Amino acid sequence: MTTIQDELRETARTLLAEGQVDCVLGWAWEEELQRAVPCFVRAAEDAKRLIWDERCVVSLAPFLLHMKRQLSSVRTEPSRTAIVVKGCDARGVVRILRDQQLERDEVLIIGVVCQGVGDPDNRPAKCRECQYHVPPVYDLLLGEEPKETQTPSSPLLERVREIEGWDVADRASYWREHFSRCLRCYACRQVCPACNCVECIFDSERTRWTYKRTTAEENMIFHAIRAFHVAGRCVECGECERACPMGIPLMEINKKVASDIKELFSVPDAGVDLREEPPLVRYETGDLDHFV
Amino acid sequence: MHKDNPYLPSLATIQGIEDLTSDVRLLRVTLPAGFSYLPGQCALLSILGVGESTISITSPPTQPEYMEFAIKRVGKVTEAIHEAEVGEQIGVRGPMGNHFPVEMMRGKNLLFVGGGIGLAPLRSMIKYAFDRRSEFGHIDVIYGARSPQDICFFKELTESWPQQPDTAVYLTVDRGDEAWSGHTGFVPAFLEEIAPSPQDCLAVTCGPPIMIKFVLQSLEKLGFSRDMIYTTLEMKMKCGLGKCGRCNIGDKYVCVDGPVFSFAELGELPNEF
Amino acid sequence: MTELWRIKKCDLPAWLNIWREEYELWGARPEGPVMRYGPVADATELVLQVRTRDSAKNMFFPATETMFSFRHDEQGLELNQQLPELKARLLVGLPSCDLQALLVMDNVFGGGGHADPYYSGRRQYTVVVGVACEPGEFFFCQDFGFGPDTPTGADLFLWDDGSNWLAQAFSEAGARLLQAGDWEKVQATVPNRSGPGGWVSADSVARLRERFDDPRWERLGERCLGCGACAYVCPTCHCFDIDDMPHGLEGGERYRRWDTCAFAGFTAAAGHNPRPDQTGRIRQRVMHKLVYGDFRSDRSLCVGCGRCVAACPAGIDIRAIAREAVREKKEVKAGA
Repeated sequence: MTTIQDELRETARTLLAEGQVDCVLGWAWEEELQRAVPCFVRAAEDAKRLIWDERCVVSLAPFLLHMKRQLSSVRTEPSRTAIVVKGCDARGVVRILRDQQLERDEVLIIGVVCQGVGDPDNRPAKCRECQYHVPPVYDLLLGEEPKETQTPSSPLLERVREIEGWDVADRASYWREHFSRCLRCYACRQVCPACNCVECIFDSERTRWTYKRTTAEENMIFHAIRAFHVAGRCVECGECERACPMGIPLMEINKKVASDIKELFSVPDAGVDLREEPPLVRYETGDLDHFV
Repeated sequence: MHKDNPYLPSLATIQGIEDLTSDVRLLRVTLPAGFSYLPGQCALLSILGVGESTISITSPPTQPEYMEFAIKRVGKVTEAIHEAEVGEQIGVRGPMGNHFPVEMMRGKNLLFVGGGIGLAPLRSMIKYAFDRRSEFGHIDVIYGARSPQDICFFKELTESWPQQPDTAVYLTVDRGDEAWSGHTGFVPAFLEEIAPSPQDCLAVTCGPPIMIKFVLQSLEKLGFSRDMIYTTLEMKMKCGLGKCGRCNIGDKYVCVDGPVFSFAELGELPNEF
Repeated sequence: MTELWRIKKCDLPAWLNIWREEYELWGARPEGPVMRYGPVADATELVLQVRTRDSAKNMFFPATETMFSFRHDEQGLELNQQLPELKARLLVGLPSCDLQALLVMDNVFGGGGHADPYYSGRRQYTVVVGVACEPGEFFFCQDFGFGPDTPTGADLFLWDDGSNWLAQAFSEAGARLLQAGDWEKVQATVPNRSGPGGWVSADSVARLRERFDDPRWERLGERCLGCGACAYVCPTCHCFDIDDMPHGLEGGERYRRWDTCAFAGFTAAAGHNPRPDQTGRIRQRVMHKLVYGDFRSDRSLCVGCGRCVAACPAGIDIRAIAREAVREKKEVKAGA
């Protein structure tokens, strides 16, 4: 039987051999690390290194943008990269394209049908509520579309509802405690497909109203700005929470904001449509402005 | 330097301000107690509330009354320094790092090749040599700026320095204007035209990285060996004490091992300056 | 055979608690979902032989600290240094790698002719109790010449002996701690297990030095996303930035905060960045850790704790980079 992984290797080999792309960004297994890591395949004969299975937890979308920016600092000719995406990762690619950080024809999206990643007995929250086993956007699709899909329950949303039920003081101390651990390593920002500003305000030496300090207030400001800046654009890939070395439950915030946005603006999930207009990015003359 | 806390600046009062060009300002400040330095060393200047920046000392240590800094407006700290007025206090930490090889230079001919604001550290050595004129041989100063308006220390370059015994000053600009009757062209080519002799001569160069690169090539063409060519690096220093790690290149810390290096020494380092 | 003190494991918390009057007690304990070093009210809260998510450096070199405050008034400018409160602290449970790291940091902040009063002030009054470790995932201490039983750097070290700890003091402060207990003295051989290793060698370090321009750095540069997770969990990464924060118009404070060579702006100044891309930045971190070291001592700036390996969201593995350096094969492996 041909597996998705076999198909993927053959597809990558062909794309590279025929010169349709310069690079295939996929996953490779790192034995000593016991992890699937991003892998940039540039030669057809290396396509056999690619893997696809439930060990492929990492989203490759931020690596696509990072790699393109790296290349543009040393090379000017256009290059086309194929990226392998799960449903959640595809939404990250949509985010990057929709935010005009890359041109559509710079990217060839290879979608893989995914039934969840990570430990089967302890799937990440995003997998337990996944509605995108088939990537919402792709150029090539590998794997069979599932016959019927049911809308799963969302443990993360249940958690958000639970927190919403707490007193303001309890919520404040809950977040203060979590943010107190933040070291400002910016791993959450670097792995976020929506955090794609070329220069982040937290890196600008001219920003004189917020400081890179790990004090309670400054960490609170950082995380509030991060959450608001990705509001309506967060694709809920969960990479920020995965990357955080301090275990801050960032997806609880992202989920809260995403669910509020959906409720307030009646919009679909972010990152499922290349023509989407995130509600907070769009201005209409009838927008509420009594607070301005 | 503060005895127990090397991060604590001394305070110096601004005595005089002079605009050298449209974006370079000369600051004359009082010398903090116990502050003694040699040409090529730098100091960290603070505008409290804005931050601290590494600036090379442009006055010679033979001047015991005050210290001078030529500051180009390039970032938030240097902008704030430009806004400071006479009588205001600024923070000074230092002196940091090593200095030009003064002992080695004694008795030798000296060649200074500067570009733009890069004249600032050279000026400390040039004036030091003038003040102890008999201790040094022939002195050549070759200096270039983008335009006549960008020449730093114009008066000194055209009036007082050429008056010094056994001294020649050569000026060039990348682009002249109607009033400019001097040489036009880039520093490296001008240097090759002048062709100073490498015989018993030590060269010191400072300027934009691209200029330094080609000056080095020209000097080598003229027969200077790399251990007789010195420069000073403009790496972003922060602590000045070899702790904060920003100015680390290879096995060296610019703030401790530098900022002055010979090209023989730089050749051993990765090209990250 | 060495004379050691035998302490029943169940007696340890009560004994440590005796010292609470004199010392603030610090050690590993959970903070939310992660293990970290921090103060505890009672020694029973301490978790021993666990790998904390980040190191103990925060205790001596906090992620953010005020260095001095300043005020402008009619008389001029006034600076007030804000040195840390001199508190006696008892830090319990450092594994051998974190002890080695502490010695590195002592050199960085205490050496080179300029003592750092902030670090030194905290370090001077801290007594350190090391505990033999149970090597786990990603450890590679043996490559740096020590193992899970190496006591170097501790005032007092505890070796695991089943239901007992075997203790030896290495300083007066450590010996004093022991006197508070009515412990049995035994003649025993000090345990000396080998730790995990086999990645970093003199050969791999030499090869890395030679291969500054190796194209494989570019492969790493495109994977390294430029966050600071590796440096911020590292027990010896000590880079920092200094900045001012005004408080209104009259005054403010100068503070320092952690910084890292992995960040794009680390070396940028006045429009010139000598490390303009991530290739140069990830190379700098690896080179500084494994090759350049610290000019104040011969100690390696990597102690093999493996925290960076565990923390990297891109799966970059410094061990694999070292191992890859000795491979002649030009082909690029995913891990290096």
